[in-house]
Amino acid sequence: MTEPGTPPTPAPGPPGGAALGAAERLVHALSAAVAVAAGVCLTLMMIQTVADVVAKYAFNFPILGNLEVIAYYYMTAVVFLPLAIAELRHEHINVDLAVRRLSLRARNRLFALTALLAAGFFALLAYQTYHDAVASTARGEILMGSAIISVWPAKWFLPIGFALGALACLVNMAKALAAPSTFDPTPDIEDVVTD
Amino acid sequence: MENLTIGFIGLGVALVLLLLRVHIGVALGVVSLVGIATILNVRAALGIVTAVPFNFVGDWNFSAIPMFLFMGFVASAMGLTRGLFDAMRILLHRLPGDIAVASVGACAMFAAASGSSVATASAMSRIATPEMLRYRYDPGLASGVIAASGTLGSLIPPSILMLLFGYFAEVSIGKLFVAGFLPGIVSALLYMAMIVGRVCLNPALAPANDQAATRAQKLAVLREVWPLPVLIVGVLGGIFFGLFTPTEAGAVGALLALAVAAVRRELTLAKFRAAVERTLLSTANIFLVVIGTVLLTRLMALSGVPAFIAGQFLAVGESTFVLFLMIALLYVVLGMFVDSLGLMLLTLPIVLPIVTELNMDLIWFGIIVIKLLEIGLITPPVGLNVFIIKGALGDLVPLQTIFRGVLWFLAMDVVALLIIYAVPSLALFLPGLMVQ
Repeated sequence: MTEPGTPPTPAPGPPGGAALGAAERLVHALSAAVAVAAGVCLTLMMIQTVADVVAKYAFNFPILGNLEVIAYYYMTAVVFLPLAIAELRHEHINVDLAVRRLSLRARNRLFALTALLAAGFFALLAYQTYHDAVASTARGEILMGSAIISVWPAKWFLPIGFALGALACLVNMAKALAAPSTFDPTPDIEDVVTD
Repeated sequence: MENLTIGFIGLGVALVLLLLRVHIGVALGVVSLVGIATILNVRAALGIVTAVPFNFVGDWNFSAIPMFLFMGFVASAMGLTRGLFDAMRILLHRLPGDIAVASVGACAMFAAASGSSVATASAMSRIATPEMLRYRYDPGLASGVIAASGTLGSLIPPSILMLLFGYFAEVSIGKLFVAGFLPGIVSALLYMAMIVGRVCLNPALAPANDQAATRAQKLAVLREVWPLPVLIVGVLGGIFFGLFTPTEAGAVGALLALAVAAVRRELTLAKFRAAVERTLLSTANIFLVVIGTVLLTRLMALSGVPAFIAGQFLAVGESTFVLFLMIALLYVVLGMFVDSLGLMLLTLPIVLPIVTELNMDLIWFGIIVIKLLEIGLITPPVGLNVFIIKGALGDLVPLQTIFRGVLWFLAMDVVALLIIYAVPSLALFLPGLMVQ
């Protein structure tokens, strides 16, 4: 992450701004922390996949259980843990035809509404996958592939990712409502060319 | 209420939510939940929510997506794509409209590395368009060429769209990658030929420049640029010869890109973190779309909408060409509302049964779908790439001018599409040679 630990400057303005700022910093810090975990998983995923290729060709002996660990642990971490940080950056793939004509104020009201919808959706997913994770943990769910692997810990990545995603959406909503004439809901179109 | 009606209402509501800028994954997910709860019951709807995300993401095939994204973001963050444009300019400087022609080539290479049309358009428009404007190129050409060439990314492997198509159509992802290669090259060559032809007829479009490079400059550019083509050919070759699965190819490619950067002393923690970050954000976004779409396909299957639409299509006739035209029309129209990833995932449940019914080759059809989606990226009124470029260029070129410049490339895309349709072996020749 470029600066995962640094929260953006809190939105200036109306009363309640301080509380919002604190909540935002907390959600941001948590989101960044799980995103770092996802980054570690991504790196491990690359290294273990290459190690598997080397073991397969050089020693004719693939690493037992490697595929399962990559698919269940690393993939779920890489997909679900960064959801919140993506929301906080407004990293949306979205279509923008009607909304472009609206004023910034109107766009922010609309943005708050859609953020609330997204928060509800994520919260529902978090609730459901939480119960699934609890059940999976209770019976110590395992998977029998080329090796016996416990899968239940991987199930916890989902409720964590979704719950933080919901909180991130609520933060976005609060920011848009608190400063409707300055908050910019447009996602940054970025590229990675650093020079 | 009839199930079919619920399905159609769901689709309508989803489109409205998309227009209001709800994230496509959220829009489709919410609509599916409500729809399934209406048709069956709330319990069933919630049960699907629990099962879908983990089961789909835990599929081994999908792990290729973050690996290829990572490879692309490492390559660009570490500067491996930096010299592409200069190298292409030196290579092609004798041609009329050389900077525009070189842009096509550089975009094709950049796209091959990044796998993202949008990232290609965004990065290349900052490098190449100002350079063309400096040499008094026609602004429409200077911006349109980047918008259009950026779309080569989905056809030239590795491509995220192809990975997802392969998964849902149950065809070999490796074969799809290899199948996209020649159609991608043909598309790029058509663009280049069109530029050269237009500039020959009207030299004012692209005034000549005498920028012949010295031998030392050529060597410097070559030293800068060689790892990327080697990396891409190595990764694709590994898939072609059956050495790697796509996931393994992506992981090896990412690690090699890191190794090249380390040897060049360009590997810094900040750049590495930037590449990781971009990969995570893209992966989370893509899978949110995938999960939303998978939920929607459950609703669609329950409501019978895909079978209904497929029936309407097939009732028109059994002629492959007529159906091809209708599918093309469907994509162009829906492409105005939905981005290419969502559009492909949404339409596959409708289109795949038709294609299977007609015994069309799914790999060939996949290439056609990808080409159609690419065309959607530059078709007015909402060609995404055009807006990306507008965003990157600011006030340099008006939106209308970019769209006007894109029209010529759009015409070439139609030609390319007809060639891919008329000559299936263009796509199917290379996969046929692959080691099983």
